[in-house]
Amino acid sequence: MNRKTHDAQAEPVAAVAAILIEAAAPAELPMFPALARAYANSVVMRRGRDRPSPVDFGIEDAEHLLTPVLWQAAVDVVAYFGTVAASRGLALTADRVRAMLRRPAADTPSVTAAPAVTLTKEEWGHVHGIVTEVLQKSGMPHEEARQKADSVVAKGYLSDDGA
Amino acid sequence: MTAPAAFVETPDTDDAFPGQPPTPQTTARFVILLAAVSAASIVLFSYLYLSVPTKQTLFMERLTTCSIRVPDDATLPQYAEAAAQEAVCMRSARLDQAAWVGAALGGELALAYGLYLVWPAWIRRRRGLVTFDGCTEIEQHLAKLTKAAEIDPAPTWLLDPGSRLASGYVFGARKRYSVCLRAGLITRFVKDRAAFDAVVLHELAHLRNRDVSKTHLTLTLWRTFVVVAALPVVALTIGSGGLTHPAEWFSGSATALPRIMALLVLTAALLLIRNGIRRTRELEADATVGYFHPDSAGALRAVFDQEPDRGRIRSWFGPHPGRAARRAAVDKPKTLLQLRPWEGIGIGLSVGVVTANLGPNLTNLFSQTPLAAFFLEGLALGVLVCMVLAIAVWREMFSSPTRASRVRILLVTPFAVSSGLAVGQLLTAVGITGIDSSADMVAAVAAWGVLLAGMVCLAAWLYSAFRLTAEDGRSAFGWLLTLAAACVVTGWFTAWLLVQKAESPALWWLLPDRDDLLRNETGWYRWLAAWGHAANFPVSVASNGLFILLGSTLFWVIPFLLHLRSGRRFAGFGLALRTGAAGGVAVLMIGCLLPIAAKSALPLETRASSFGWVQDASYISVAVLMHVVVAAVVAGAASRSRPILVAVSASALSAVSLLGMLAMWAVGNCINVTGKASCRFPRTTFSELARNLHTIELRGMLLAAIGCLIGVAIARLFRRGSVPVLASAPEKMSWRGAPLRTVASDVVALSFVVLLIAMSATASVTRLADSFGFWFTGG
Repeated sequence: MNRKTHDAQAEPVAAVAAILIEAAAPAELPMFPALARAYANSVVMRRGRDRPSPVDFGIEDAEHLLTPVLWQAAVDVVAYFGTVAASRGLALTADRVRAMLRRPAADTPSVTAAPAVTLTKEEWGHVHGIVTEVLQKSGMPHEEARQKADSVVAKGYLSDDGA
Repeated sequence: MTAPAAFVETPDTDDAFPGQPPTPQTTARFVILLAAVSAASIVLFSYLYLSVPTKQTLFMERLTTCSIRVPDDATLPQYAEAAAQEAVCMRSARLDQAAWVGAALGGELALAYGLYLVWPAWIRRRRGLVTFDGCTEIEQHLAKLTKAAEIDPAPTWLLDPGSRLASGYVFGARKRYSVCLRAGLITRFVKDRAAFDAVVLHELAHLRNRDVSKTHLTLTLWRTFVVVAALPVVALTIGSGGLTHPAEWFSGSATALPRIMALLVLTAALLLIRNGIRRTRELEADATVGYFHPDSAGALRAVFDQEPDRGRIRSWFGPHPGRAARRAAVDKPKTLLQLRPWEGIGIGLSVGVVTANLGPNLTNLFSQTPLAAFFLEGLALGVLVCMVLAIAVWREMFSSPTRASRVRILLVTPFAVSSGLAVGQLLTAVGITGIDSSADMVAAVAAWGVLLAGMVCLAAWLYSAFRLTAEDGRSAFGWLLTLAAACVVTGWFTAWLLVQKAESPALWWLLPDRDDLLRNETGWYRWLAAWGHAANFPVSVASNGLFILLGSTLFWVIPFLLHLRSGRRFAGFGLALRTGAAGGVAVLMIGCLLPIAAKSALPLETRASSFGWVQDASYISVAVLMHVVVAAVVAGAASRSRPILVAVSASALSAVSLLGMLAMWAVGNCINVTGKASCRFPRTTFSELARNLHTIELRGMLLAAIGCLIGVAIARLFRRGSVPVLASAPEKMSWRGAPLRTVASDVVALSFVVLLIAMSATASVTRLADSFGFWFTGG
């Protein structure tokens, strides 16, 4: 995968991930711009024991970070969105993704004029399932994962449902 | 930045330095690590040098050719001559070895520095650190904290996106530093802002304490040492079957056991020092937060409380301090200053390894006069030991002046440092290469005992002198002058240690150095004279110490002069002066009786042949023994500053005793004790007088230490209010309106002090000239 393609995919993923984090892990939102850059560059969360640096503060207390999990969920969701968009003959862009989730970008006054992709109730259910599954894989209890997935898809689902 | 008012008002009342921030101690530890790494590397590289086949052949052939066997009963000049010949013969081989080892050491240090320079970039790349661009809220808050911590220029703030730990770290080189916050910590920016601030301020405190570069260099030095020096030795030891054939550990000329032991001890010591630096810097950063940001201290304590207890062993020796220590650092920053026993052992070991390996290289430089190498090695050791002790005592007092632990100052610290030093002295390049496997463990233990005794005395004096300086206003000039005086006087026990190392069996025997003159016909004089001039080898060498006379005078002159500046009377000084002078007069009177007794007890034939020397030795014995009595009286009567007061009395006693010697000679002449003298004032030289003063003072001070202990013990037993105790709060010294008797007494005392200083100065200069030749010209 060349860099241009990679960047093109990273932007929609970041857009979805931001929405997921805002809904599911608001405490991690302040650092999201920096994390998004890191994850876009394939930095991954260290697995296993996170060893302190030789010059570290010296506290081994670890926080349960949702951002990496939600990023992975975003990757899967964007992949699904891509499939849906392709089935309707449209390319997937970050603006189109935001429009799908009814979240305009902070620096754009309105949602893009490009034709939007509207998801059906079943398709929203699939998105819900993706998010729930990824959260559960990360060790989150089923009920909690379901609630977080509810909050993620609520806005878009309700909008589309109501449309 | 001024200390927060809350801190100044709330610290415990024991704080003698309120308002002063905790002093970072990382620099001293880093210097020790650097010295220890260099010394340990020299030891291991020396072994590696001899593992190169061509070098080994060259060196061992030279060693066989140059080896000179010194008879067991050799005198010091004979030994010195043999050592000089051997050193000259070995010079080319040793220089080749020194060049090889020096190049390897230089390469190792250069590599460590290179790693230090590239490490920041490597950390940033390997961990995938990113800047906080776009995280406006965090960036603004971090800028605010940086300003509050007064860090300028501000560091680069980075995020470790792959870490869940709620911590951070500072890294960087050459004043370009970055603070990395782990992603786990950032979650607390929202959930627990106080905890977030406390951790960030802790990291900024590292910048304030300037410990970042030192810590990184510590780590790169350690890693380079392991890879470049330790692992090759391990590989060679395994390759040579040194580990797989335990039966060979104890046999052969180049046994593996000393090498393995040395390798283990050196590596463990460096590891512990490395961890010590890391623990200390963390505690100091905690203390800095507690001191400068008291609002964040509670949050910092709460962060520590969330951490599970590490266990004692991990907390004492691991790279990070335990929870209790960190809390204590925040609550009472100055307790960090106390020297822990393990630190003392580590410091002693480092000093021992450094000086023990300095010696052989100095021998290369002074091949014509090997005693000069001994002397310089001893001087370096003495100064280092003195500085370590002085720092330990000062830190103990700074941390808690009124509750400073005397047990820690007088026993624990000297015991720890001397123990480390004794082990460090055994870890020499010569020992590890197996060239000299005749390590005399009994002598080593004896040397440790001598060292411990000397260090206990020195620690006691430093404590007294520093306490006096603290009461008089704690000027930096006063501290430094006291430290300088202590450094001057340390030469005696280091010379003792070094020469004992060379000729260890001689340590155990009292050798009358003029036995031929102590003939049986001299009767009871023989016994008495033996006390005065009987000496073991180290004491004989110490008699040639360049600065002993000067140092023993400075022991009391410096505290006295510093105290004079405060305008207060030195409690007990007059009594010590009078007791010393009275003791001297008693010796003088005994001295006048000695020739009269000899004339009535011994036949003319005995008195006519070399009796003068026996009489002088007997007189010196009386003067030396009198030091015990005088020291016991002064120490028993004094309630403080005993080491200084005993030094005053010893100087007064020695000086009056020297004058008494002249009186004894005059009486001997007048009663014609030798049968060939006329009644005239004895002719003598400055050199002879200085030598006698030196002998009385050196041996007298050794016994005065024992007398001091006896006096304190007796006073403890019998002092129940009936024996007058010297005033503990010195009164103001003023002659205005004072009784004539007081003024006259002061004038006499000051005149006597001036006389003592003049005598000591003259004798010191004279002895300096005489002793210089002994060490530096082979004379």
